[in-house]
Amino acid sequence: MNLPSGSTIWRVLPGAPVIAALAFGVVTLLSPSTGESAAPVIETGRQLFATQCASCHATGGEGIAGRGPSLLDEGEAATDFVLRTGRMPIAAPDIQAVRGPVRYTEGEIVSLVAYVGSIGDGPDIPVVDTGAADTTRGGALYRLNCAACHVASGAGAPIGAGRYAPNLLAATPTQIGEAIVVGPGSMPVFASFTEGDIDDVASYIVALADADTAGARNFGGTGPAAEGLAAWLLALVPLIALTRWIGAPKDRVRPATDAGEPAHDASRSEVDP
Amino acid sequence: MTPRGPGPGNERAYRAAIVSFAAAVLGGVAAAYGYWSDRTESLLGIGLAVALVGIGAGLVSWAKFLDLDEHVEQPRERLRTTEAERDGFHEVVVETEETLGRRRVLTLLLSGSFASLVVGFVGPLGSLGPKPRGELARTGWRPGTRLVTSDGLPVAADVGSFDQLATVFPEGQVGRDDSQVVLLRVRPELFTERTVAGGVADGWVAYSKICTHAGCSVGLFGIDDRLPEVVRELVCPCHQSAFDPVDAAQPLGGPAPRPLPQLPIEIDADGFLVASDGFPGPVGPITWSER
Amino acid sequence: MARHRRGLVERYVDGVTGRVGGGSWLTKNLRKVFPTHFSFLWGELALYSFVVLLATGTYLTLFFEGSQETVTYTGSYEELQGAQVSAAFDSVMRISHDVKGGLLIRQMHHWAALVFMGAIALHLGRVFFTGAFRRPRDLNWMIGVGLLVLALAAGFTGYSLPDDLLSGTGLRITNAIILAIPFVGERLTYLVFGGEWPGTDIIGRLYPVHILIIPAAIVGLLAVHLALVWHQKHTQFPGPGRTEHNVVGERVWPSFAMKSTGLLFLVAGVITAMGAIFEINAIWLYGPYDPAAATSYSQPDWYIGFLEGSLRLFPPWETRIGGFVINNIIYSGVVVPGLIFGGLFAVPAIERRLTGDDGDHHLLDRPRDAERRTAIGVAAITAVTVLFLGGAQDVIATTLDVSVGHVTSFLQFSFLLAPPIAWLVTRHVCRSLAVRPGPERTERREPVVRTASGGYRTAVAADRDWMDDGGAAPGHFDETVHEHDVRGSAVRSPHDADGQADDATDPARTTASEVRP
Repeated sequence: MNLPSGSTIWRVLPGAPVIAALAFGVVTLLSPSTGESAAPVIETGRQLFATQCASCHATGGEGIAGRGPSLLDEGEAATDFVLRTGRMPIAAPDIQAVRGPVRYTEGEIVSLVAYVGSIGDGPDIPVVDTGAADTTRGGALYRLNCAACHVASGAGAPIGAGRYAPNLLAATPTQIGEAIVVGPGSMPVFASFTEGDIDDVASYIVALADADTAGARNFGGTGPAAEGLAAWLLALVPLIALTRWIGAPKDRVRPATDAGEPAHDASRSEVDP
Repeated sequence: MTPRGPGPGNERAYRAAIVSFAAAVLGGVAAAYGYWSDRTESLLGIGLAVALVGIGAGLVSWAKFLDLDEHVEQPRERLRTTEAERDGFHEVVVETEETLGRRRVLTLLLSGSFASLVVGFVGPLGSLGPKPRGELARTGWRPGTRLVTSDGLPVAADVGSFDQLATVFPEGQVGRDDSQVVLLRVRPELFTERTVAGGVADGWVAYSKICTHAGCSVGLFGIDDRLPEVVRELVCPCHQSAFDPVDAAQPLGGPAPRPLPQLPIEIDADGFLVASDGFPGPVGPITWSER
Repeated sequence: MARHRRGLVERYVDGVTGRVGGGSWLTKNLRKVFPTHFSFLWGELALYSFVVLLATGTYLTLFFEGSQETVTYTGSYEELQGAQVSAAFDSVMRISHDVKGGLLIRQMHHWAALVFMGAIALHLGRVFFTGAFRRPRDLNWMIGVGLLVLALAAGFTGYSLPDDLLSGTGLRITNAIILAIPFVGERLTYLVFGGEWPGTDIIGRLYPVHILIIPAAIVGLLAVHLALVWHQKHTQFPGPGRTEHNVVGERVWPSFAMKSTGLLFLVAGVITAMGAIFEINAIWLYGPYDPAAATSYSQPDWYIGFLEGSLRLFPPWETRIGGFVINNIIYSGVVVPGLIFGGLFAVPAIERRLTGDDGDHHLLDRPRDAERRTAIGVAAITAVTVLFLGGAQDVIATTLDVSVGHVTSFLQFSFLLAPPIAWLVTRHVCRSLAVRPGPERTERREPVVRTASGGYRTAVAADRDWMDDGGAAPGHFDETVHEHDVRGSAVRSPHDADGQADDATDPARTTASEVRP
């Protein structure tokens, strides 16, 4: 379990299967497609896992060297995250998993999450409630902890070693919470975040998404470099074209004039009568 | 300078001028309505832009319609100095030397008084900032100082998995710039010897968060040892300096010439992380005199 | 010309000129001739963006507060309500979200700054590649480089004022660069920042620098810059009838004035459109400066990009001398910009040294005809462009989906290899383009002429001779004298007389007089 350091409630949680089971129950109850009890769900998940995941992660989820890591301690949060963001299944083990279309039905996801949660000890799906969250505080936390990789606008950015932090604006509050407690891919775990911290940050990211901070109006939220390029392409290039129009040499436009001059002779001294 | 006869190009320019000025009027009205109706970004801005571009395009089109001569010739004036002008100035110089230059004492004293004026004003300039008294070498970290998050909460050593990241400060000094520390937790077996010697505790390792290159906050931590190609980098987003979090933050790439100073840490009796000492050396960008 | 009854304007003008003198001066200058070429308008692009900057900037000063005092944000932007921010940040938030039309003006100001610097770069390039910086305009070139440096300073201080995360990050880097300066660095940062970083003084100090000192210096230098252009008369491209001794173009009034004023409105219009349509520097996302926070894509505005790239690409060299250290940011943050601006400043002197040519030049070179200069210029632009790309290496890495490290290495090699390649390619292109001599070549190759002292010289040498001794000279000199002579006679336009004299006295010219009834 990776949990906040300051809250005593959370510090007793890892050893409390009762609470874990309760949390799991909440999740299954919230899932519309399941009316079954826990055990058959896990069994369905096990069967699904054997056909869908075992080729890389092995039948028991212990992982296969060079193909897929062990999932024994991944827990429900990580599984829910990768399945609901379409990161798994992945085509090759050595590429970065990216958000894509979800490949499983709601019921399948619930079963797989339940199964992976049952084979080891990993973080549960956090319950994220942005209703009463303090968005301002979430913004401060976001800039202190998240913006270094995901950019102030949430647009995402490279983080070295060929990896990059993804755009956050498509993430749901639950997925944000899962990422914070799980640290998917190259992302570290932010275990110092309390439940309230997660709510606040999630609500701030939702606000960013609502404001479309990585849209066309701000060039994908990539900041001054894109703004500079825009200044050249959208302002200076048109202005150069306008100077071309203003300063267009007339002798190319207009051939010979009244006095019967040859057209190529551009220079005339002007004499008033 | 009568305009030429209305050729086909001229007619077009005339019509363009009419359309432009008309558009400008409409743009101005739209801008006014935009302000009045609180649509300041869209209607006000676009309206103003249309008005301005309309006036500009109208003026240029009008000038093109007038079709005034572009090939008027004018002679250039001479810019080089003539001998007579040189002689004239030379006379002034000679005269100056003969009059002012002869009073050497006065000239010297005047120069001296100006110099003293400059010296006199250096003092007030010094008031712009205090003299450095070694503050740069001191941080808020002392032996036994607890590491706290931006919320002021201490960090329990036994909480949470590996691959953690947090920004921490000395207890009671949250937000103090020179004492910001990036706290990581990685699998302890990954640490190199010098990292362990620098003071780690149960997988926890702490480095100054201020980049040794130009002083930005080193906030990017990419870690992934689940994949065949292990990724483990601490990166500064300003200039992309990368440091090795398991090898005493040695530079891996980018412009930073030195590792991030490591803060020695240990676990206190209550199970919270504390500094076992201050930083071994100065934090922040490298300065001229190693302090 | 038939005499009309004097109108109101005339009587007012007369009222002024009758008191200060210079009635003929006014007319003469309204009749002044400017050569037409679209690239000659790029300096005006810069001038008019500066006008927009002054206008919008003045509006912003009415709301901005240059103070780092901590206040609680209570404006209408919900995601920051209740946050502890500096008064400077608070006031920019107010401009952006609570002043009606304030965001438009603020965005216009920022876009105008980006356009201003771009126009300066274009203008600089035009002047360089056409050789317009040569004597007698070498002086004005150096003033122009001074203006460039001032404009960069204006941009940087303006970027720093909102006290958001990007501002603070930029100032933090500036602080580090000053700190690394040998001997005086530490003391100097304390003087500039009022103590240890970040302090509480810097925004309040940058504010008067940004809105008073730098603009005043720009306005002053700009006045000299323009006055010199006016007085020395503009250069022109070679062409039929155009010589070193005349200016062929359109008159200031009304033709040039209409087009130029039109351009002012067009520049303002394009900048307004940018401000209305596109968001720039969303400080509410960057948030108030927090020394421990950071954001990816921490970039300066584009024109500081070369410095950012220099900082990002320079290898991690550290030099130790005794107990002292030279951090590599001294090289990348001080030496590199010093070389760039020192080099720009010295361009006329370098060219004079390389060519041994100290003569006056009013006719421009086509870039292809000056292959050495063009090749050097393109190589320099290539090097600076690599630095610019280096400043955005993370954005490039994302866009191309490659690792930042690879982009960095590639750009480091490019910085060394690309300029020589650009030099060779440019020289080759110039040579293949210049095989066919343009009309200007035949024109400038005047045969041997007789000098005032009785000897024989080639035309170029004769020009120089005439310019140096200022004495009796062949041909063209008479025109100038002539103009001085007729300046006082107010009835006829002096230039009409000049035109006639010109044609009569210059046998080498191939002009045709146009006489209209």
